[in-house]
Amino acid sequence: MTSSVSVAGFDQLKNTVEKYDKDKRIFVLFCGTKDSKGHSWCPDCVAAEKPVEEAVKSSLPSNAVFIECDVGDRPSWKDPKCPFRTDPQTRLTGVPTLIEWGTSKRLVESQLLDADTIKILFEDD
Amino acid sequence: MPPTKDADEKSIANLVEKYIDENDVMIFSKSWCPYCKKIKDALKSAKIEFHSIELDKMDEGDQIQKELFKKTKQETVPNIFIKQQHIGGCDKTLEALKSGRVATLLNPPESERKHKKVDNDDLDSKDADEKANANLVEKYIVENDVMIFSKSWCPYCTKVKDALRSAKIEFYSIELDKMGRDLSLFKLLIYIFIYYLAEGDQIQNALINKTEQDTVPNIFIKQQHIGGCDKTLEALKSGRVATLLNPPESEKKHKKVENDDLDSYDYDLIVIGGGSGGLACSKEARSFEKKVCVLDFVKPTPIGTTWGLGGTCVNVGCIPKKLMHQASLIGEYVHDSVDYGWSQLDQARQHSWSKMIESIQQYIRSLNFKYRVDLRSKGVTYENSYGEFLSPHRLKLTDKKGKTKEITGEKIVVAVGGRPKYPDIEGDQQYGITSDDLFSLKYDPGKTIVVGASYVALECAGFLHGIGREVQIFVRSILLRGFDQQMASKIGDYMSTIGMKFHYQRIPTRLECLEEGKPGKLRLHYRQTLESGEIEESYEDCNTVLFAIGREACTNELNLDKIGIEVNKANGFKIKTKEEQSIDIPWLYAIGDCIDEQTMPPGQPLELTPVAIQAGQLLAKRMFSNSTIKMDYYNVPTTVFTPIEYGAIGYSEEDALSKFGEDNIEIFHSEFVPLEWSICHHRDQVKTMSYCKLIVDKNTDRVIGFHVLSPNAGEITQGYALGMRLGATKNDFDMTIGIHPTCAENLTTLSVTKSSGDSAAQEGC
Repeated sequence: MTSSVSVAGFDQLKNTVEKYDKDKRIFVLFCGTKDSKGHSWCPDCVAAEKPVEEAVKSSLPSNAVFIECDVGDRPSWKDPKCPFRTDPQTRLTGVPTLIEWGTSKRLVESQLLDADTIKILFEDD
Repeated sequence: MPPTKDADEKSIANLVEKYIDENDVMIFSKSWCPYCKKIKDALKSAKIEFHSIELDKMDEGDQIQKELFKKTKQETVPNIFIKQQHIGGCDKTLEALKSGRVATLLNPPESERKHKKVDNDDLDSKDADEKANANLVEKYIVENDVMIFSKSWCPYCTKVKDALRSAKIEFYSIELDKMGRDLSLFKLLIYIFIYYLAEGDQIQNALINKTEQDTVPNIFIKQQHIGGCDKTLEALKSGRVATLLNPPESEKKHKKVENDDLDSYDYDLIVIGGGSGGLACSKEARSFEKKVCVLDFVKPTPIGTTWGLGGTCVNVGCIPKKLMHQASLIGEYVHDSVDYGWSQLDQARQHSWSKMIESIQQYIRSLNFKYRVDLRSKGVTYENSYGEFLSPHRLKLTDKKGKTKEITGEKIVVAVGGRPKYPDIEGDQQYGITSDDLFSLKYDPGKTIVVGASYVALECAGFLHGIGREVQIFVRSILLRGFDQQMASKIGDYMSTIGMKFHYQRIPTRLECLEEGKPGKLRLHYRQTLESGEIEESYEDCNTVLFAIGREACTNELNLDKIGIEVNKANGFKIKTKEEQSIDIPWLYAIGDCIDEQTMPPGQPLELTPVAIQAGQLLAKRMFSNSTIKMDYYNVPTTVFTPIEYGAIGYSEEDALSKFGEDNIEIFHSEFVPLEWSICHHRDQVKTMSYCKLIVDKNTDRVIGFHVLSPNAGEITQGYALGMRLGATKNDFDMTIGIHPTCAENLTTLSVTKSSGDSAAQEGC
């Protein structure tokens, strides 16, 4: 996704998010690390790629930012102490997860296989 | 024979006349006749002397009966005359007793007596006067759809006028006390000007002649005599007034809209309304793999408030209400904290309206989102559009951009819920708000006047006060109509003791804006009926006026008339149903707040989320499977989340007394002190206000009514609802061991009865 921002690791995510104005809506997609060919070790993340792309292309609100966040390789992610799991702002339990930063709205795993469901997340309140 | 017969007839006629003339109250009766006995008993009770003859025990009995028929065209007994006026049989006489006509005949009012002192010469002008007044009365009645003969100081006249205004029914009234001369001037000139009555009195006399009613208000609707205040209020309630004013066109009645079965439908089920009932019903239908569509659309409030999917409960009802109630409880706990050893919490106490709103709204938005995703994942089609009927199975949908489309459904469930009413006074929609606006209000409401005495009014007033805003409550008559009144008055006592000001018999008349702002300054003009009966007009200034005077179903703009369903204001525009099916149109279903359901216990409508949810689910099962399970609307537990909470299951004391009778029920009760409050000084004045009672059917020992007023009443009541459902007896309650120390345990140790007269104050522990 050319228009989106890519970050890796929890600290980078935090720093990036803080830079945006309060009026911006921030969406963060958490995925497993991609290899040199662009494939993630996480098969569910791979499956979600197309629907997410479609939804972002057609329905990402104009005042929104889309951030792709790399949670790490498989062992890092599986570690119960992984900051993405423990930090109260994310509390991830699975990948892929798509959240609207600063709200409790999120979509996980199979929900991300349906572009229309993702569009619901992007909708204006 | 004939001559004797004639002579006989004449002497019988004379005999009958004699009886009638010589007795103020004359009853021609038969000893075995139960109606004769009935009317005699009634007269005895009213301490009215009468003379009766038993025609079955007299030789001339038959002849007398024939003569009476000749004279009065009435062939039955009892045949009754009062002061030589033929009244009629038992029913007519009972009516005349009830209406006061009997009393008037036996003790004619002074003016009439004065009349009798007038020379015969004046009788002609008296007759002419009477005719003129009768004509005047007719004129008023004919020219006005709703005509009220009233007196300006009469509270019942005011009461019925207010009721009509609330129902948005126009009326014309004349104040009989303000018409013509003041009678008192003429009291000194009695013998000269006796017949020269004040015009108002003359009209009142004409009304008595016409209707046999001598009181005001005397009300006619479309030339039909309705009666006084009570009868008119009843007629309003029953829908009779609405029917009289808007008689169903006879063609509509005959042209019953037929069910137009189509060959195929877009959906197996369309649910109009995405609230508690609608969502539950639609999701349940999906478990039978039906094609389902839910329509949800929120028409913005007059000040522009709107919200997402989920209905009233999620957006502007139960959820934000309970969270705000919790906010106010936390404020109270901070006061408690001092006695528990916490320091400085009390002084640092501050409440931010905007922070509370932000937290709550964020949560609500997450629920809106959750429901959207849920519907999608369950395969229910969601349309954010307003639906209207075009024909039995066809709906027109209009989205927020005004785009329209049509869809068809084999089965349609109306679950549109309700919205708050406005009082229809100047400035109400412009400057006032309702619960629809309160839970997302972008500015601090400041000093607030809550108009209404519904549970919504009291809950909102409660938490506004609890978070530190000044609150006044304008109550028209009683608190929590439909609820147990002893409990309602205890809630009122608690709320006034903690600082909320109640103003009874106060009705708003106009809302004025003194200064714009967020919040602005408002002036609420009102009419107050004082204890003396006098009416005072005044005003109160504030920042916010919250109208919580009741809710109406959102059925008006569905074009229900296109499918042959009529709704009227008298029952809040609700759709009449039996087992969630329209009683007029069997192929239309409806659930939730918008229905007037026959199988609900009479009295208090059950406008509750869990009721709508379960009704919706059971309905879906009946529609799409062999299920025959019906919704059981009895023993539904409820809780009012006022600062002291009130939980109830089953009968109120009033309903239990009227259904079972005083001799058949026993009421056990107790006051108690929540342990958590016992050490808190700031609770001193309200400590002993917690209370509970069980209403028991003496014959079966079953508990038919459960009432508890205490902190956490909601949690307490839920548990006991299971017992009530299983038919718990008082003995079951007593044999259940309590958990100590709790408030809930008090229901297991009740021993003092109301009938014993003993004190209900708690002893020991």
